[in-house]
Amino acid sequence: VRAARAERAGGGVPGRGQPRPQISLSEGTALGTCLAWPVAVLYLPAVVAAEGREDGWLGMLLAGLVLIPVGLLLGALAHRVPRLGLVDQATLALGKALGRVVAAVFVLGTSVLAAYAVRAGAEMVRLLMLPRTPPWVISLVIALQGAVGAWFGLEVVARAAVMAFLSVGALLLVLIPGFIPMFDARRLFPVLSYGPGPLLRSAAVSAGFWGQVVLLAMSAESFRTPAELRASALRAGAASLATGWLLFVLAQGSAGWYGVSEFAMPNVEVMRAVRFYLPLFERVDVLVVTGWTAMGFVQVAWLVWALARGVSRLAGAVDSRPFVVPVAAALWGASLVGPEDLPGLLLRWTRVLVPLATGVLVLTVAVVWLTAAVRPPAPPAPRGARRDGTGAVGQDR
Amino acid sequence: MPFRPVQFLRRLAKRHFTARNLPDAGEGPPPADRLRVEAEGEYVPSVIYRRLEDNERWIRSLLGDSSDLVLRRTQVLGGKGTGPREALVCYLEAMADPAAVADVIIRAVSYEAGMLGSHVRSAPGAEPLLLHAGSLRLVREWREVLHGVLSGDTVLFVEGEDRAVLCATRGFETRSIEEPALESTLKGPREGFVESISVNLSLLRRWVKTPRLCFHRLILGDLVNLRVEVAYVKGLAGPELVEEVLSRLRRIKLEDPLGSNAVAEFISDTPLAPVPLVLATERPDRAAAALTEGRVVILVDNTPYALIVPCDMGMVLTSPEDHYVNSLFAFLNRMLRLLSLVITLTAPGLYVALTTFHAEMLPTAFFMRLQAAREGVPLPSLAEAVIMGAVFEILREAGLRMPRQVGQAISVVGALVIGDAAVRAAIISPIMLVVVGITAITAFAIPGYVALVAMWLPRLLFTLVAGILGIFGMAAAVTVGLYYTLSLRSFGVSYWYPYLPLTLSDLKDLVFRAPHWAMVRRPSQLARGEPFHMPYPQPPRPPHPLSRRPGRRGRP
Repeated sequence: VRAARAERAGGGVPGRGQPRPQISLSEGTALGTCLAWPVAVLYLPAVVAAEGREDGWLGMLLAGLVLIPVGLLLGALAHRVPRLGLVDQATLALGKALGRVVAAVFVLGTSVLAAYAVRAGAEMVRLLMLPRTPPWVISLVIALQGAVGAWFGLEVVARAAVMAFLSVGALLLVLIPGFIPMFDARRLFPVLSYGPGPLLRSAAVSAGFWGQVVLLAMSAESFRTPAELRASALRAGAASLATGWLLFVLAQGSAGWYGVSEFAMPNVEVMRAVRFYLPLFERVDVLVVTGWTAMGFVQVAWLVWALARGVSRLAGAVDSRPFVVPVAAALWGASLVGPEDLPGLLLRWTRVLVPLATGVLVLTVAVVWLTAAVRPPAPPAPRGARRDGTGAVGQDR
Repeated sequence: MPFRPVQFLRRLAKRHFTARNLPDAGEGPPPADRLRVEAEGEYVPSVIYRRLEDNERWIRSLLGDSSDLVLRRTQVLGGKGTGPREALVCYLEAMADPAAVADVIIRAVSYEAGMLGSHVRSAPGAEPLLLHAGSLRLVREWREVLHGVLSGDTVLFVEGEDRAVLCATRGFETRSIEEPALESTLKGPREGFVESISVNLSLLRRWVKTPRLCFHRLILGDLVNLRVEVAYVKGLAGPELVEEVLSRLRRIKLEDPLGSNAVAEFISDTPLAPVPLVLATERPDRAAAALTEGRVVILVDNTPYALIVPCDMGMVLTSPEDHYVNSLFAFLNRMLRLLSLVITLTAPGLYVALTTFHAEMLPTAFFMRLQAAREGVPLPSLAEAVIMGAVFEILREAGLRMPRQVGQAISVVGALVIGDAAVRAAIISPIMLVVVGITAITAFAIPGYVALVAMWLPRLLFTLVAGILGIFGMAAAVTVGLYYTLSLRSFGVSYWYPYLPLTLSDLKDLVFRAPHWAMVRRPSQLARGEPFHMPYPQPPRPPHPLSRRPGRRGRP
């Protein structure tokens, strides 16, 4: 493990050029957590409460079950077609033309989620921190920092994700006890009083967020083993689900399902009512939102990297850096499209578009895996291999 | 392949002239195959001549008939059955110790050898045993001769020999060892590196007394002949790391007399990085500790600093003092330093953001007091913060450049005149002075002058962005700065090591300062061949209070 760690970080072995980017299990977990958590914790509770009423917290928990097949699917695909990202996996499994079409669908779905993340972050900042600033300025800043992170590469984004993960985790540890005086468990019951419909609807919306760990397929090549990819996806999903669910339960227990559904960002609103331990700040929600913003920054950086990587592989390019700025610019433009009001954003994007996009992504990965399982692709030739298959250049035959 | 007589003759001549037994230099032009090391189109032979006249002529032409050049003819006894042979002693009066030259060389070769009936053997493979100089070297190339003479050594040419004897007779004055100016400690040793590289080598040897400590000498630049020593402990420092350091140093072509900072800029992974990627230290104990961790130390002549590579953030934020105080206090000091780092980077920006955009965060009473203090101040918070930050940096720079007595006067002027007068004139709010003061004090808590200076630019950027976009903008700027520093590497090691990638075992001497008996492992990314400082933890084991006999436990 130590040797592997050392190798990953350059190992004091000063190479001419950077070592191959590799992310560890903990970095993968943090990265996976950053994929959906920052937006989900802010916007999901209102939608889930509106859809699920008292059963929302059960629906959110039920949606966590989607994580298991998604994690297993990622691991299985990486096992079938190892050391490749999703675009290359698709072209290898499905053939050049069909594979590119399927990969393009995946990239398109990713871009929808990325645009939603940028827009949702901008709306949140505008509402809570900068009410007079135009949203396009905030979106531009978010997209720009994402471009910078993506420019530096996946390793850098993964390590920043670890830092954001730890910071927000510490913040939650401090804040969650503040909810307890307002918490009343009776507000969580009765359950299933309206039949299974609300439960399933809230579960479907929640699954659209928690299932976004499937995006880790884009960086499958950077994990050392398929098992690490699978474990990262499962752990990230579990961490996201646990904290998101806990916050939702506390919010519903504090404000009731109707109160939660009335707010755009219920967790923040409830947090405003928390009397913090030290009378230093009147309102701690800005600090909390700052922490979430930092995590959202990492999320956008990762999405920009994934999109640039996907587009570069679709174009046949090895280096994804030239695609980073155009992708970030396109993302910024796409984030400005759509409803101009926050309720509209919640109604259309959060309830419909995000679950749909996530479903498409999972379906795409499933198709690639199924094809690879039915018709196992030939392993990719080593670098420098001869076309006639007689052996690699520079190697003994 | 057709026979080409001209090329054949050229190859033959080349082979002939580059052989060991070169012919004597004649009056004609020097052979074209010899190295051209002199500018202005003049050819200089690569190896010394057999005839003394030729050697004297060449060395006079190379050193430009310098007034301190001393060339003295003498005689040495030849081999068995041969008579005395002419010899030429050459040294620079300004660099060599004349007494040592006269005593060690001239007397030895002229008198003692004759009295003893022996001879100065100069046959191939033999050593000139009768010279008493501390360090002798047989050299063959002019490059070595020139570097030796320019460094204060004395060279002895013997008629008929194509080699010369280089004797260490350096006698120029150097500064004595003093306490480090920037890295002083309360309880640690008071020795610092000096300008003489030989003294610095001895300081390192005194700390690391192992035959595995290797020094690799490099001479940089044809004009200044800057001597650089690369030190490492064989088996601890990775061979790839050592090779990379050497290859980066060999690529340097410099013609100016530069110090260790220039060398650091040449070999740094990211030369324009605002944070130090090559750590400069003036403490031998710190350099020695780096050697035993598997790092490489670079000593540069005429510079009282050693360069340590790879350098990571942990090294920058730790102070040598930590190892000379109680581990608990050292841990607390390190926490304070980390806190200081955060405060000095963000305090002005937070102040600007809170007062400009997020006043609702502050308690009402505090906010009212703040507004009352800002009553009548014509400048916005952002301008206040930028101006006062610039004033502080100017005062710091002026205080450093001035003599100590004047520096104190500048402090008084800065504190009283500018601060007090500005507040009385309602140009600056008193809260702003408090913020600037806290920023300055926390900046000085970070060890190392370079790190202190490195904080200036990001602090200014954070403040500007906070003035435009509030805490959100500041968070974006901090994230971008985080990306940038996470992308930095020093000789292959991540700059954030061991914080990111998180290596818990290596935090023992970076975030915490575990007791020395508990620091079993060396840094995992460096000394991979020998990962352990010690075989197992060795906590102190005082005798049991109930045991009367030493070594026995239990009831008496």
